[in-house]
Amino acid sequence: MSRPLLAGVVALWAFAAGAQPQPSRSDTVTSPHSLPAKPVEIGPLNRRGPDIRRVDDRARCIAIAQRQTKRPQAGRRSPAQVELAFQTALASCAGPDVPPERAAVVGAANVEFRELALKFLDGELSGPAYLAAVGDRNRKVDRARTDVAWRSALASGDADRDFVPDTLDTCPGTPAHQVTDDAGCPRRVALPRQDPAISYRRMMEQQHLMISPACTGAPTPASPAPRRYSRAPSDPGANNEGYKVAVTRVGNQPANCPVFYELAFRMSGPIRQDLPRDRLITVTYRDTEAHAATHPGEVLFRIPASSEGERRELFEQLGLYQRTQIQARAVNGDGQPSAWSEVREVKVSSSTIQ
Amino acid sequence: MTRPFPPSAALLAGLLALGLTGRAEAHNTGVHRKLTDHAYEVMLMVQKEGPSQTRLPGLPLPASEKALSSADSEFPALRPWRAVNKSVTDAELKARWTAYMAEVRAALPRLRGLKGGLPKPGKPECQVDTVGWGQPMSSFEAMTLGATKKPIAGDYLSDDVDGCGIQDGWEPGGIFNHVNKGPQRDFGGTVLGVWSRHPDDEIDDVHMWIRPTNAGGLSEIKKILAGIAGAGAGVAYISYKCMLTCLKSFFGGECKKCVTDEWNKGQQQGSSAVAWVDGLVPGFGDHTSEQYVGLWHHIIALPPPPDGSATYDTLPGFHLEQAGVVGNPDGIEVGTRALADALGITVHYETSQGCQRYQVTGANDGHADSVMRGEDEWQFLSMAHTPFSPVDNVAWAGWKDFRDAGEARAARSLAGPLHAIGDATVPMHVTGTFGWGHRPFEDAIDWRYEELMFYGDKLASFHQARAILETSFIWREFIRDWRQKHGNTKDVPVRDLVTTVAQLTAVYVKQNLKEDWPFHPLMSTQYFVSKDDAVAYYMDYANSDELVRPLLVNAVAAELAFLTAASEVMP
Ligand SMILES: [Zn+2]
Ligand SMILES: [Zn+2]
Repeated sequence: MSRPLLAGVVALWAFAAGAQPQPSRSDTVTSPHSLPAKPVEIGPLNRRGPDIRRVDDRARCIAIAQRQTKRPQAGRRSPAQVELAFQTALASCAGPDVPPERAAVVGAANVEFRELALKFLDGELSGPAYLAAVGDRNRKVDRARTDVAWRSALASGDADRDFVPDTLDTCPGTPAHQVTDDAGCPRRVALPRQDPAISYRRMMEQQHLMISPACTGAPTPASPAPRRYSRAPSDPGANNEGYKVAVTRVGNQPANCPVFYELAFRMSGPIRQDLPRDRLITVTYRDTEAHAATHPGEVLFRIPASSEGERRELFEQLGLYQRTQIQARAVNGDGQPSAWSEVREVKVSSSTIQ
Repeated sequence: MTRPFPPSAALLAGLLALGLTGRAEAHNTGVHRKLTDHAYEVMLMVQKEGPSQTRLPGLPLPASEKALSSADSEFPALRPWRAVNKSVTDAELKARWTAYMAEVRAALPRLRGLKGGLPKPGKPECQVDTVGWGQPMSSFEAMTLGATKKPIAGDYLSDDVDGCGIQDGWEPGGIFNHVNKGPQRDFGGTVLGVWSRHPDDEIDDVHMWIRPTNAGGLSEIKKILAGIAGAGAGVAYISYKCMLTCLKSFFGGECKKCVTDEWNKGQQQGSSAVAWVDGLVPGFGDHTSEQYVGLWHHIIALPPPPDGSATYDTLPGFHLEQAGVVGNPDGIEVGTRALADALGITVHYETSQGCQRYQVTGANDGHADSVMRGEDEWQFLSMAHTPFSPVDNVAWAGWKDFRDAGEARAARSLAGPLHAIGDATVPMHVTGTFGWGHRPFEDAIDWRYEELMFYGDKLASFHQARAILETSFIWREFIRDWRQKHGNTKDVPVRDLVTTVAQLTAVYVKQNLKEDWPFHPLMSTQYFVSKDDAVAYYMDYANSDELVRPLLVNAVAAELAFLTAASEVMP
């Protein structure tokens, strides 16, 4: 961390607090990556909560930080260096009382934690190695929180980014992300052989991030409530043999934002002794598969005998148990889920629903 | 920080020996409603029975069955407690029991007179007289528990609730279907239950923000999609690998390429969206909603803090950096830490009321205040490095509102304490893990609650009610002891109460721990890949009903004792 950077940080809050930022050439330079001017909120989490307060000073401070780190000379720095400058500036936006050297340490810590995380997520670091490295940085960052002398020493220089101040570093130039002792010298740590992250990695390889631009700004989907299900006429010739489930329609999403209905069925009270006492089967439908129900606030999904996969399994099991409970939730095209509905006991209606 | 707690060893020993000390578990929110309503139904049963009855009027129980509230010299559930409270003679115990039953009976009319605090229903068609609320909309929030004429559904507070938030066909379950029935049915328990389920609903507890980076964030992927013809109106499935590429390249050219490729690939395959829904990256979806609320719902008693108290509070709350069973993270926890750091998911201090509200100051309840933290400590680093306040502080915040509200007092303020008691009986909440099978464990309880607590059998559920009542007596004694030491106040030591429940849960867990129950290192990842199998694991685990039941009994019992004591601050 360089001195000029610290000075820039001090100035930042003053700007935000009222003084107009000096117009400079930097303001006209555009970066290939545009930045959100405000923090990206992932809330509100409580729909009845008061509106989010916006503190204009803060937003301005962040906007200025973004502009400052995009100056022409920023182009000669690596993206990582630019990010370091930006995160440092950002930390100082927390308020006028943040000591600049604290902001510098926080900025550096956030960059380091991010890099370590990416190395882990990418498989370059095993779970235990990742945890050991983060633990090492945590210890030092925490020391910088309470030990003022250490903190200012750290902010004045840490060339090898091991979070040990250059002035106290007996082993300068340790490789990136190396675990060290408080003198900055590499420390070997015995890593547990078991890696808890293996199951996580395996899982993530099957995962996808679902994104629908049409869902941008959508509220948390409402929970669809299961209403009832019925067995369609079991006339062997009828092609609609099977079950129908009615749930309330999720109506609070923007047009064209897809909505998926997840329906979890728990069946209990088996009709035969050789069956397990419980079965739990979850099926997922997209809104486009819904049929209109007579009640305008509801949608209807079918589980016909001709189903495949999970739905087929569900079709078969529903006939083998006396009791059915259903729980539902919705997920929109941005992967934003509703809460699961209450578990409802859903009776088979004597008349078919339509 | 020195703390004038812990509870008497005798109390701990008593509860432990009972086997009733639950191991508390953090619950799927639906369970909280059931626990609270259950406590209320037991209270109703005590009241209906009347002080001099030897059996419940009109109930089809054998004559030999002892009445619920009789001062039976046996007190089977109290045997272990008596073993450590030898100075309490038979006569003294009977006298205390009789006094307690009188307290429970006196509590009910007060609770029935308490304002529910439910917001009026949102939909116009639910605001009309024909719905049968029997309460003008202008004073809906003042509708008392006793005047509530409809069973309130657990999701009443949702904006888009179905059926006006009334749960038609609701039944209290087990023997209570015979106690609380007919035209005079009491729905107070369902109102309390809704609040117990939603302690955070009226409060803007946590906002997370994705700390901006110089390069923007995940929204950059949307901008890329918007630039692809047709993609703006479609659904894209971005693989984990591509997401990483984007993060690493600061959303540069490589990111653009992989997003475009994956969009095209998806188009060619005509991928049925449905197949993907269960395979979403946690981080964009789940991390934004319920999970975050749960950040304030832990109280770590396992292991106990090294010097008897933690950095900010007596027992610490959730801290992702140290999450796991006794600090050992499972895969989900390691991965979530990394995602939080990679994306910069951070508490947004200004808009998160929880930061302020759940730091305890000036409590004066004999339990140390929180060590206060400023904005920097909440917001500088990602949530992975942010210790949250423990759930007993959530209980305290609600309790303080309730105690001091005067005329404005409403059931809503009981949400915090009731919910906190429930959470403190969940093994995962007292060791501070959101992995290790947390969600499937809770889901299994939610699905099986009736089998667990009512046995589908009147007589068995009657005995269960008696066990709950006897266990609640121990908590009544706990509160009574505290009150005697604090000038016979009517205050309730909610932090001590929740903390002790959590400590008991921790002990119960240690005693009943199996290699693969309740903590399982793979069940949380399994939950993402195949939810039903993970839940089935807990539903079908050998003896799981017997293992879980004591925790639930203890939760209901502690809530019952709390409700009784809480009502005493009312006129
Ligand atoms: Zn939980
Ligand atoms: Zn909770």
